[in-house]
Amino acid sequence: MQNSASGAQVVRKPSESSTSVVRPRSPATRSPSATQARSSGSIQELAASKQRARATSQPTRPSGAASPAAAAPGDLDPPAILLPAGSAVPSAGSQLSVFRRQWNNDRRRHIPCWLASFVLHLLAIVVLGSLTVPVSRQKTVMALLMSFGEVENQIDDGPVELAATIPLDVTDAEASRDPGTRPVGDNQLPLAMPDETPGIKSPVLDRPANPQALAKATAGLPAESPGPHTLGQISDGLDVDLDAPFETQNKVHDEIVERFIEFDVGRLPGPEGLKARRDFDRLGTEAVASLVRGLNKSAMMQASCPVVVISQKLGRMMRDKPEPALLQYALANIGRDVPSSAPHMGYLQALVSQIQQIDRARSAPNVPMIVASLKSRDVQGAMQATNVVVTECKKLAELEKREVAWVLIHLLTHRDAGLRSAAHAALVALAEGEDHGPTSDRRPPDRVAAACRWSLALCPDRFERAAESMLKAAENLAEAGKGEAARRYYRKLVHEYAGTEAADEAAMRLKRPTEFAYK
Amino acid sequence: MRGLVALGLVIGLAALGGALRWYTTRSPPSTPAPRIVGRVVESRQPIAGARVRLKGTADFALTDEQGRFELIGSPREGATLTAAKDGYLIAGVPVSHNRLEVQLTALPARDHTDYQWVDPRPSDASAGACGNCHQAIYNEWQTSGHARSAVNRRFQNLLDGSNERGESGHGWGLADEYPEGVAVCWSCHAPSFELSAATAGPRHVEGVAAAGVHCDFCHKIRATNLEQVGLTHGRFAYDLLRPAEGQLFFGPLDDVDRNEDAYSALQSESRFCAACHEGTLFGVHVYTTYSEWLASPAGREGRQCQQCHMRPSGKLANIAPGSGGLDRNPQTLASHTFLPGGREAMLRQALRISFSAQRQNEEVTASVRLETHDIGHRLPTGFIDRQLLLVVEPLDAQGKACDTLSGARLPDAAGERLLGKAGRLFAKLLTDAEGNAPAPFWRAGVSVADSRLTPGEPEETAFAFPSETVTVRVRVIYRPFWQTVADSKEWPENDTVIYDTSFSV
Repeated sequence: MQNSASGAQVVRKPSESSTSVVRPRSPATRSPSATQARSSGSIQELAASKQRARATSQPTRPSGAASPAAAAPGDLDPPAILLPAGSAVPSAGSQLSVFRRQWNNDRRRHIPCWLASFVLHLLAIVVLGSLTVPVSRQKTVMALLMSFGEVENQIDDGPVELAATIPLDVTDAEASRDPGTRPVGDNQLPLAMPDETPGIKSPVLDRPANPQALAKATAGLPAESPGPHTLGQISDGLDVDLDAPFETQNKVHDEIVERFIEFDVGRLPGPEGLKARRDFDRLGTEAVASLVRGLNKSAMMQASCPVVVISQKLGRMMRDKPEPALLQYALANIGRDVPSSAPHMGYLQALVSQIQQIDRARSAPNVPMIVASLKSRDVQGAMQATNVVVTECKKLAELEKREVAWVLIHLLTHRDAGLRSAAHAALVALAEGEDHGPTSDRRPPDRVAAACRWSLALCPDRFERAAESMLKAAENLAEAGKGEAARRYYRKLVHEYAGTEAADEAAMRLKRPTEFAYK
Repeated sequence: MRGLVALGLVIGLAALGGALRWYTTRSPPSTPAPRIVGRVVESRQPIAGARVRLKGTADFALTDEQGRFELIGSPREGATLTAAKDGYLIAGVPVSHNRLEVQLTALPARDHTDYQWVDPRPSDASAGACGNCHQAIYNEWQTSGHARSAVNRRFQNLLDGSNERGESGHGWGLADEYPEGVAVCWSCHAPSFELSAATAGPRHVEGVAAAGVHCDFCHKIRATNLEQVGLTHGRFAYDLLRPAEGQLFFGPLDDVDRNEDAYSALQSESRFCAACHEGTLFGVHVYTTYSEWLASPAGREGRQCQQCHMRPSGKLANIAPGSGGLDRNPQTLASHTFLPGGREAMLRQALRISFSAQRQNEEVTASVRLETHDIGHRLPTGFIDRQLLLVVEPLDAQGKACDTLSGARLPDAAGERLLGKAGRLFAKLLTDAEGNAPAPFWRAGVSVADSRLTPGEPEETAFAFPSETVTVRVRVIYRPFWQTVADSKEWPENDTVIYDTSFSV
């Protein structure tokens, strides 16, 4: 038995007579042989280093502190590798398999400790955090910790900065919830759309901080609420608990709207009324359901202030943030259960009409894009654009229809048969089923004739202007003595602008060639 | 025989003479007075309670349960008999014989919201423009606040926080502090605005709506809903009836039988005005005139707003001269200036002031008594910021101002120029939650201190001045807006002096 103080590596415990314990050594106590073994990659050293790595959380024993007493049964020394009883320190060759086996056993046996250590660390962080982070921010910080990546994109500067820059009318709940998964309340408000839904984002989380709105909203408020509002302040102001379920939040919002109505009709004067108004002013899109409910209720009241103010607020929300989910919810629910004889039904109808306009404007097809695609050399792109025209033609205004039709008519004579066919289908859709051909796509003259018919039907003014322009060009050529060129122009006019006055004029001039040629 | 013949002849001649004398000296025969009788019906159903009159005359009759009426009088040639009843178009028939039947037509059942309002401004392009035919009434209306309610510069300055020159950022502004509240104003200031435009939040109305409280709007009001007076404002409290096609006007004349007019007694009643002249806005009782009227002696006596504010000018005898209008008694045609004689004259009429002073020991004691006269509301009334200021100035023999030893002083709200002078402020002073006064009504949490004059309750104020006082100048000034607001907005004129009198003591 060697003295541990001299770097003893094996301590045989009285009760463990059948096993030998190989202890790792500290570098300070490493023997020359051990150093040699390390440099040669000895098994003992490798095992010892791994043990050290595993047991970093254990208190470090001072060098030289290892004593027979310290190695007594039950002590908390770092785990040791067990060797078979009676065996001496194994050689390097045989140690490998022994080590592997022991290591695996050891790992299995010690993983729970490792996990416990991690959990303890985590708890320690939480406890320390709770002692150092202000109470008003704890919920935010926790919410941010719990939501990980979902809010990461918005908070480049960390949670504290987020709290300081969130706009006034964004509640704590907005900033802390996952837009894709949050519940929608007792009425299944479709505020949160699945992440994979294209073009639909959360109506609340991507709202940028708006210092101007903040300043405007705080203007005129008493000194007790100076400067930008933090999440904590808002939470305090609205009595909204971050961890409260959304049903509770809905109730809170309903109550805020209810109290605002009371204030607005003069039943809640003084400081209570002031608070009611401030709370109402701070409501954002997260409270759209409560606002709509309040609007419907106020439409049935014999008081006009609330319905006007709430509808203004909703209208502004829809204009500022025309989220599909918000618009659809508003359109589906404004006026619900409100009798047509309600005193302010007209106001609701006007608001619905306004929201419909916003919705139409938001979802209207991009006509310049369509026209550009149709004009491009990319046949596939143009084909896709014709498909868009077929599906979206009802959303196009009259002028837009004419703009698109003019390009489509030109595509009737395109070299690509598929595109010609697609353009024809799009024109039929634009004309609401009316078809001006061509009935057969095989002969180019048929296509040209069909283009003339379409032009006369859908864009007669533009067709006439184009024909007149060509007639003028032909006349100029004739004036310049370029008779053959003028003749070609006239022929082109007669064929490609058939039905126009310019084409008739051209036909007449072709019959009297002396009038224009050979000057 | 011959004698007998002669006697008979004499007797016969005498009888003939007597008969002739009797005939020539007898009283005129008592023939029955001419009368017109008839029925008023709707599809053969009798209409009770219809007002029937010969068009343009003063007397009228009401129909009984069977729809029968009887008018005494001799109609002139070509006269028309008219019948009117609430819910029906006014109908007229020529008085061709003495038994007439007047057929009434019920009004359309439904209001058509897509109706295009008629522009009041005279226009060659629009034959139906009110001012084309009713030029005199249009001229009266144009001088009134109703015509400027939507475009009044001061109203707009208060709305958007701008000053006289339209530069923003000057003083109070509803749109800055409470943007959602702006549309509430349109309910009364531009009652014919498009609801869709209002929900979009325009600051400035356009088109006919910019004409404010215009002819076509008031004359499209069928009924008013006063279930929650003061809470349902302006257009929302009115039951409008706009036709799908053609025209329909409600008015106080019951004999306009153009087949597009309906008689409305409401037009002559205070209830008609209540929707806009009574209002709780954003929790504050801003407009109180109607409730003041209800509580006033005039209200209890049944005197209506129109009796003072639409008092006939006596100058208008035909509402549509040259366009089918009848010549009428000028005292039956209402004025549309709404402040006959102007604001200053009306205020002067509405106020009685008395002054007394005496020398006592080493000082002069003076007492000024103000009371309202013959009005049906408090003074001032209307917009909540209106004020009356009593300013009392003691002057010595050289005309220099003396100190005031005791008595009420004008507060800060009177403005820097009058602050601390002897006098009283009669106003509704709003104080916001931070203690600022005056505060705008839209600033939530305001408290109201109301010191305005009340009908039947004189206000007497005593002052003491030093003995060198020889003259006391008493002024009563009317201000539509607080002086601090007027200063911030750079409005040139804010004071209207109602009284400015000096008393020797």
